[in-house]
Amino acid sequence: MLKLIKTNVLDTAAASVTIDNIPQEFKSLKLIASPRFSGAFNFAELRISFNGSATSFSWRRLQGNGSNVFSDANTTYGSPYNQFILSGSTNAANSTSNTFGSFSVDISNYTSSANKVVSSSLLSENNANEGYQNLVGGLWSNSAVVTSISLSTNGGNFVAGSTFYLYGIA
Amino acid sequence: MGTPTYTLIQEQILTSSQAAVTFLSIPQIYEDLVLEISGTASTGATYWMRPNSDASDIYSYTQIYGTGSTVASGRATSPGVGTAGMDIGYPATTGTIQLVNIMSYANTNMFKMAIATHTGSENYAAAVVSLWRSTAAITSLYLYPSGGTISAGSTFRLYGLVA
Repeated sequence: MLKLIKTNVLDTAAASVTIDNIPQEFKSLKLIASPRFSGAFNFAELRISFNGSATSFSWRRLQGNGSNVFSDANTTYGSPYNQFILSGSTNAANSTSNTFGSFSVDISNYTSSANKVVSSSLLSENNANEGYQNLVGGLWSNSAVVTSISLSTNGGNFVAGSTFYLYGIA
Repeated sequence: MGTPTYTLIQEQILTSSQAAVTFLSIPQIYEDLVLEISGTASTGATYWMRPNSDASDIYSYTQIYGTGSTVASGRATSPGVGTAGMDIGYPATTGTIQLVNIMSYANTNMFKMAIATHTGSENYAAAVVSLWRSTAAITSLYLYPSGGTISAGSTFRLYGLVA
């Protein structure tokens, strides 16, 4: 069963978004979001972390932009890209107005004592000459259960109107 | 109350390593199936999926993947190379997730297609579309790695989706 656990629709800008007190009764989690950032860029990064941690993250990405495709990983850049799972880039202030990214992340076995594996998809478009499709595999090498999910960016704040829906899969 | 849209049909959590996983007696009451695989394997390999354990030469697939530094796309067609099954991802010795959507699995008027995304922080980020050229309804799924075994602790969950 897919059950809506938490809803967060920003009515004011926020530097980051944290979904906490996640119930431990499900098998997997699915977070679906439509974010946009306030920074003076076309696109800015969307970053995920768990339980307030900034350690033991790794990820690998496949990205296409309509003319090129490439792949990178946290090891491509070093710190601080091992302090979160990078999901890709999505719309910021200089992109087409009223346009938000489309983001989905699956967190399997979030209550187990095994390392936490994550699969995310982030799609962004600006109706001009730029858009991105990102597929990312992530790992949090930590045995703790996931009790909170934090989303952050290097591109200013999440703007009002950004939405976040957390589902539990039983 | 609305109709549940994501129903857990079967779950298998491996208590010891196995060469394969099978889902039998899949109810025919849903529109689509979603298979979630999370875990590790004894070696890097390809996950193959055979509907109804069919080993006929009637499979094909197209994949795109990134390794963290390089990208590639590949394709396999039958006859000749299409006996292994539907390509649904690449288990590794570190944690990976495969999310597989199997549309219209009970429909006897169409060939069956699966769309899989595979992600692992230590091997690939990949998307694969596979075709099983059979109109038979899918009543079972046989999953196996192309090499090694599936590790203990790996989880396999099969969900049914209703429209």
